[in-house]
Formats: sequence, structure tokens, C-alpha cells
Amino acid sequence: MRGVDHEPEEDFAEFYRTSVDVCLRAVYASVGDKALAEDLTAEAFARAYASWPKVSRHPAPRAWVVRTALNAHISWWRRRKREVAWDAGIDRAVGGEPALGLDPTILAALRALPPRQRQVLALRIFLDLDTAATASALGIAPGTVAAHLSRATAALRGALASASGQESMQ
Amino acid sequence: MMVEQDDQNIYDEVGAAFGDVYAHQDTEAVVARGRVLRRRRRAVPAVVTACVVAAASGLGLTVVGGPASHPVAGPRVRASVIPINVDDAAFSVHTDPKTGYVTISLFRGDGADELRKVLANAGIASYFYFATVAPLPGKTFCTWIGAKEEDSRSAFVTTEIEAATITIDPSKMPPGSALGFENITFKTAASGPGYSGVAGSGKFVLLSAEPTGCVY
Repeated sequence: MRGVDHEPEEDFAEFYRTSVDVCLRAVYASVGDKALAEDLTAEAFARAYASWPKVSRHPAPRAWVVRTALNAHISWWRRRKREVAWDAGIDRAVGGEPALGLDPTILAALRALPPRQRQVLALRIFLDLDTAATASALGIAPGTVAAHLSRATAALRGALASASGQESMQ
Repeated sequence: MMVEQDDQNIYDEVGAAFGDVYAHQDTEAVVARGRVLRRRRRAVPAVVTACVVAAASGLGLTVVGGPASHPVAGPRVRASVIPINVDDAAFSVHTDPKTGYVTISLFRGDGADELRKVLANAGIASYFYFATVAPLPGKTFCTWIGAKEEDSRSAFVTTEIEAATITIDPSKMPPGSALGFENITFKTAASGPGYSGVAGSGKFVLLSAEPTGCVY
């Protein structure tokens, strides 16, 4: 993508096309709300376009997008919006969207994790970032990343094993 | 990052669960929003540069020419630039000269009447409805009077979550149609299946005609 003789618009379009789904999944897994994740991801990609000369040279542009989505500024209106039914109806406000096709056990297990653990896990799973890249993307120490990932993985393993055990009993 | 195979299996399981999650917004809408952001960012340094040039020009007249050399001549550039603050603006409207897209941001509700006039002057009919009501079971939005909601996908380019901002393509608005906005605050949090705890509602809509009101 970088260093190729492309027009910037085409370059960005290609980046968007190849990255938007994995970034959306990472943000979705982090925030636990699909509609919110779609908005955040779209906004982050718009910011990436606005800063494309910089973002296109970033060592991990997808991580830049996900971090931007997660750091999206919370204005008073958005704070309010979290409490109201907005545009798409009530699902977003109550956090109970049907999550079409998504395993409810996994979604529930992710939602039960603290936000930072979810973010670390999402970057590992969907962007395949190593500890150093994850630490850089989230602005935290590598040791903290390792600790969060370890705890998140253990919690996820426990939740999935528990759900599996209940299923087998039934 | 050393990953045990057992851990990797869990990651694969979680990753696979999200395999059917896809983004639906096309590149065009994201780029349109990105252009708005880029234009805003460029506008700020331009204003700062103008201030610096103006101040420097005033200083140059004083130092080089000196007041004694031009006792009656005032500075050709205003030495003091009146700061322009828009923090208290109730709304903003910007038109992209290339696309014709109009971006509307609402910061407060009390400027809706003025915003409606501004848009009307540009040929865009609109209606902004704000209300504080007691929640009725199962009723989240108001009902428009004299108009019905239309499919807005072609006329609404993008909406922004950080503010009540929408970018529309006026050329895609059907003749006689109007932009509608409703913001309802519930006096007490709604209760009941599906919307328990909801404190209000709000949305932009494309209306078939300019409404005469909206009732909850």
C-alpha cells in the first residue's frame, strides 16, 4: 500500500476496503455494542482520511484506527446520546442489540471483562498485534499489556468452559 | 507475545464468532466526512496565520515608518484583530463547494429557529422538534404532523456521533421534502420491555413535506 504509485484517494480507499471489517470487529469486541462500534469505526476512518499522509506512514495504521475509535472524544452530546434512543432505535441505548449471528456466550464473556482487558484482547485477536505493538497502540506499558491479556484469556477460558459445561449437562 | 496453543484456540474461537460482522458504510461517506474534518483543521491555522500577519504588519509600520514619519496615517492593517469565538454558537452550517454537500451541526436546541431560517434561505426546508415529556409505554419518538418519514439513504451522506451533526446532499432531497430533527427528553426514565432506562430519544429524518409539528 505504501510506497506504491497510487493516488492518495485510491490508497485510502484500498486501506479502507481491506481494513474496515477487522477494525470494526476489534472495536465491536472492545465496546460490546455493534451500532456504537460502527459509528466509532466510521469516525476513526474519516479521521484517518483527514490525516492520511501521516496515517499511511504509520507502522500499524489499523491499530491507529482502532485506537482513534476507542479514544473518540466524548462530547456532552455523546454522553447524552448514550442514554437516549438514537436514530436506530432503542437497542443501542440499552445495550441489548440482537447481535445477529454472534455467539451470545462469547459476547457475554467479552462484556464481562474490564474495558482495558477487552481492548488488549481485541487487538491481539483481530489485528494480531504483539505485546509491544499493543502497548504502543493503547499507550500503556508492555508489562501491563501482558498482564491484561493473561487475565482476559483466563477469564474467557473460564466463561467458555462454564458455558460448555452447562450445555453438556442439558 | 508468546501464545500457548490453548490460548490461541480461544482467540480463534472468539475471532470466528465475529466472522460475520461486516461494515456497511461505503468509502464515499467516510471520505466525505474526512474532507469535512480536514477542511476544519486547515481553517484554524489559516485564521491564526491571518492574525499573526496582521499583528506583524502593524508592528512593522510602527518600527520602520515610525509614528513621526506618518503622523496622520493609521496602520493599513488592523493592528488588533477582534477575536472571534464560536464556542457559544447554537449551530454551524457548512457547504462543500465541490460536492454541494451541506454539513449541519447542532450544539444547542435554542438556535433551532434561526437554523431553520438559514436552511430555508438555502432552499432546504427543515423542522426541529425539542420536547420534554413523560414517557409513554412503547413510544420512543414523536409522530410528525403533515409529513411522513422517507428513505433517507441517498440524501443523508453521513451522521456524526460526537455531535448532532449530519451531512446531507440537498440535490438528493425529493422536491417538497424536508429535513427533520427530533430530540425528546423523558421526565423520568422510561420503563418497560425493550426500552427500560431510556432517558430520551433523538434522530434526523427525511420528511415527505415540511411538517407542521410533531406530537409525542
